[in-house]
Amino acid sequence: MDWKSAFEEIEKIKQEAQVEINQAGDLSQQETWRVKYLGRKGRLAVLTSLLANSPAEIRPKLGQAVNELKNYLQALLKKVSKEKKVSRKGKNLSLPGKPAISGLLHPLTLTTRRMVEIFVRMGFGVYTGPDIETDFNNFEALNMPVDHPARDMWDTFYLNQEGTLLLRTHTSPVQIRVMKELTPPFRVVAVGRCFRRDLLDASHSPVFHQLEGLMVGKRISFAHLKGILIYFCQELFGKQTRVNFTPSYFPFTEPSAEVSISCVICRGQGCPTCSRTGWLEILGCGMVHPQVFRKVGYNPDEFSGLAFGIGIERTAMLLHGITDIRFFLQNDLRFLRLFT
Amino acid sequence: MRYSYSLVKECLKEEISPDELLRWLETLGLNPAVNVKTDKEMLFEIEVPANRGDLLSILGLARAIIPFASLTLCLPSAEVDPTLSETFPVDIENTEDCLYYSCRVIRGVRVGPSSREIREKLEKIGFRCSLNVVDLSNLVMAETGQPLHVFDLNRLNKRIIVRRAWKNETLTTLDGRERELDEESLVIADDVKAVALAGIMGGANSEVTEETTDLLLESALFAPRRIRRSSKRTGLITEASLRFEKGIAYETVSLGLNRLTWLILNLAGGQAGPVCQAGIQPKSNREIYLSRKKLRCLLGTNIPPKFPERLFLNLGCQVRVEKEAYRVEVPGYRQDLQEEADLIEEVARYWSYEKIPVSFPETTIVPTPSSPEYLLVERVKDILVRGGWTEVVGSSLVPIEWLRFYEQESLRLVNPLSQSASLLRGSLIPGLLEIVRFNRARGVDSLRLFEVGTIYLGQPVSERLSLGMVIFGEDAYFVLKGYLELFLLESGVEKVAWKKTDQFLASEAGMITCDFEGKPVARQFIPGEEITNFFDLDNQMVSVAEIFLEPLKSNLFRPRPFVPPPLFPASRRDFSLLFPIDVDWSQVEKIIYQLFLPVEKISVFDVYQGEKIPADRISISFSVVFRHQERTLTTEEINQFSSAIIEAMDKHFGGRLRQ
Ligand SMILES: [Zn+2]
Repeated sequence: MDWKSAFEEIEKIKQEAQVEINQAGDLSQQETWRVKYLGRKGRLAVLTSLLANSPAEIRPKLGQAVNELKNYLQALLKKVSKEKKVSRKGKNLSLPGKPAISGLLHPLTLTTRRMVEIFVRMGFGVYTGPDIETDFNNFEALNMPVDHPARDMWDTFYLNQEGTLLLRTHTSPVQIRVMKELTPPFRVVAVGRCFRRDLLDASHSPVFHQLEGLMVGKRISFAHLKGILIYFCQELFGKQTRVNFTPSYFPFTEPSAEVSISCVICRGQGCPTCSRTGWLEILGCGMVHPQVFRKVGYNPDEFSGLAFGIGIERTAMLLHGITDIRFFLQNDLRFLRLFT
Repeated sequence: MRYSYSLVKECLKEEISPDELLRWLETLGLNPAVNVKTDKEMLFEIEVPANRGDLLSILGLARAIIPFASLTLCLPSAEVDPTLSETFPVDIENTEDCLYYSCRVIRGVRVGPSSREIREKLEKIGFRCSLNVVDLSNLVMAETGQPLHVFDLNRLNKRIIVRRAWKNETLTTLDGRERELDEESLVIADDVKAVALAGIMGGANSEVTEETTDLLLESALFAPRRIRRSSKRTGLITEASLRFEKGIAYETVSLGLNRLTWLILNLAGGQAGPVCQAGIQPKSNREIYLSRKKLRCLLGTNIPPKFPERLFLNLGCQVRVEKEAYRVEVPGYRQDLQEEADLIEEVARYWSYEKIPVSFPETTIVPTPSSPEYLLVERVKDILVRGGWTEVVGSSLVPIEWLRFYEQESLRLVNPLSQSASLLRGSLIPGLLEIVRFNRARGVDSLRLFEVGTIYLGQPVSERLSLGMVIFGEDAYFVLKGYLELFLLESGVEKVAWKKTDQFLASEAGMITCDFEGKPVARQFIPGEEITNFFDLDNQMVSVAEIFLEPLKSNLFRPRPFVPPPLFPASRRDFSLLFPIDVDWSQVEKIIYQLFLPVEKISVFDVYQGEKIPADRISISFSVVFRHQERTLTTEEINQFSSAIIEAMDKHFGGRLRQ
């Protein structure tokens, strides 16, 4: 539209607005009407922006017309919002009940609780830690000194030029905090938000959540790691789930392993979700690296420990068959209401 | 890295099948991705872990599978008899940057395209071919893992020096780009100029061309840390830099140089000089002690004592078996094997994780507490969900334009991915309003949302646990206020008292705040137009609240005291009074309580403003419940109390009974 047809447009808006407001029965429809006509990107706003680009000789006249329109629309809204709504009366028992309002937990909370509950049953305490971490806790204490090539495994957001403050890339720094605070033996899980400099797509999000586990004691072994995690996977995904451990590499565990479960979608037959392998990688784990123990002043000859980290979004996606990680932070109510 | 089955086979004496190779690599957890597979050939790719530089070579991969079938390694031919005596002077400025540097002159070489056989080998593993001597250096890198460089000898001036770059020094690398260097980078230079970015890429000024006949081959040991820094600094990551930053063994340096010499002499002719070298020759073998007990305890299984012994021998180690331990001398190329735990992992990998039993720890029960923050957050969610509120989870990273909605200094990312996610949220409110906008645009007409999450402050850098609530719908402000009071009472705030203040982001109506133990704990307001316009909302339909959870931590789990239900009945009286339009209701309640009557509860049930009463008045209808703990109140007493209230309302507020 250009400024020449602006006057016609004003008349058109007046007529349409009048008709539509009479059809707007309740407050929310009136609000929709308001956004359409008076909103930030509403029809009035379009005219106002046009005004700025109109020729000088026509501007005063157009300005006046736009202003009149604005008053007209506001008056319409005021008049209608004063009129009382008709309440539903009478004794017709077939009319529907009033919509009930119920609260909902976010699917990430629901999934986290399901996961945490399984570990609490095995005697784990639940911890948290800050999102803003030091380079020391996020990397160095986890056996990744400055210039260690393994740091490339996590693309990091920094909060200062020196690179000493960052947004944690995993919940593993909570391991360091817990070990400094407690005396073995202990077992804890930690839940929290993590950050990686990954572009947002269907399976990557720069902001995501993890559940971390750590158990330290005198004779904790790889066999125990297997026992605990197989129990966890079968409790969460069903007793028939097969659980597979393969060697992997993390700087802060030795030996390290990756855990896969038989695909929850196709039960191991092969489907697109599992890239036709029948297996889904679900978590990373291992025995605490002696260097990590040394960094927090534990004697690796006296203690051993097991540790694991699980992505909460990924787990929720597998549990519910959610296909896109972006749903979690978008908070579309139509999505949230699926998981009550 | 990309590998071909045929190249791996060349490094082994025995025959193996592609399937066997694949199975072994999978057992080791290397996740080979197969691109091409026939009976005779298999091309595959492996993402090599950061600690396994040795696997960035065909030889390394062959070594890794030897233990599965006690295979025999077949090193590539590399015996060289120098026929020239010509040397070339070499110097290292600092052996912390470059531990060892070796080179060799070759004269009379036929430079040209490679033979078809060589080209095929290289193309299968993803290299692009150019001149034969360059192709051969790539082949040797793939075979041995040693990055090599070939200079045109006649374009070098007098000598080689390995030094840091000078400030503002530039070098045009082989890819044709001019690179600005600084003291963080290491260069190879001759007497007058830099001729290569050490360990990363050669320089165009000393590049081999078709006219070249005389070469200088370089094989060196650069410090991993220096190459990593230099590579990050110049933003140049190459096959060479990836290998150097993961570490290379000293033995590989001479194997690489001799292998390349052998190939050039045999395939492109020429006469070779002796090895010229500088630097130190680091001892790369390590002895690691592995206790059998530790092995048993950490894996939770008994592994037959012969298994580790044979394994380490097959991996190229020397093993001394003691009564309760192994002393293992590890070759230099296995830089990942640094201590006992590394050897234990190696045993577990070859033994197979699958064969390790499954068990639960036998442990002394030592109760481990949960952190109060976690319990608090989950409790808060339950209280709100019970009240019909919906939990949302917003991102911590928000658009830079939201900066103006945060009251305190905000925190920004130094290296954001985009402006739309470059700021850390300093409040939950804008995020909640955005979620309202998003859902409004999809036709949702009433919303009650909350988020419990972290907010971030810049001065000083810190984070805080916050609860945000937003309501969209009719009578938003008062509906939210009711829930907020309920929430605060359930969270252990004994008495909710509101103060009115002007505040940031609030509309002209201002904001109400509530203190707890002397600290502000909650605030509620109708957002002002600046923010509601931004999110395209009508501010009469929206109200928001922010609650700081820290102060509530201690009270939330305190057991509530028992109070016996009252024995005597209560009486209720209703009042309809006209007040000045801006009356402060908290003051009204305060005055009524200060009359010291047996008042149990005061509640407002109707408010009217309009044509039937004067324009400067508001009609408030409220009820007061009276109850005495020890007896039933008489009608006369109630009448007296009521009169006292009406009198006090008139005296303090000019409140009159509505006619
Ligand atoms: Zn599947």
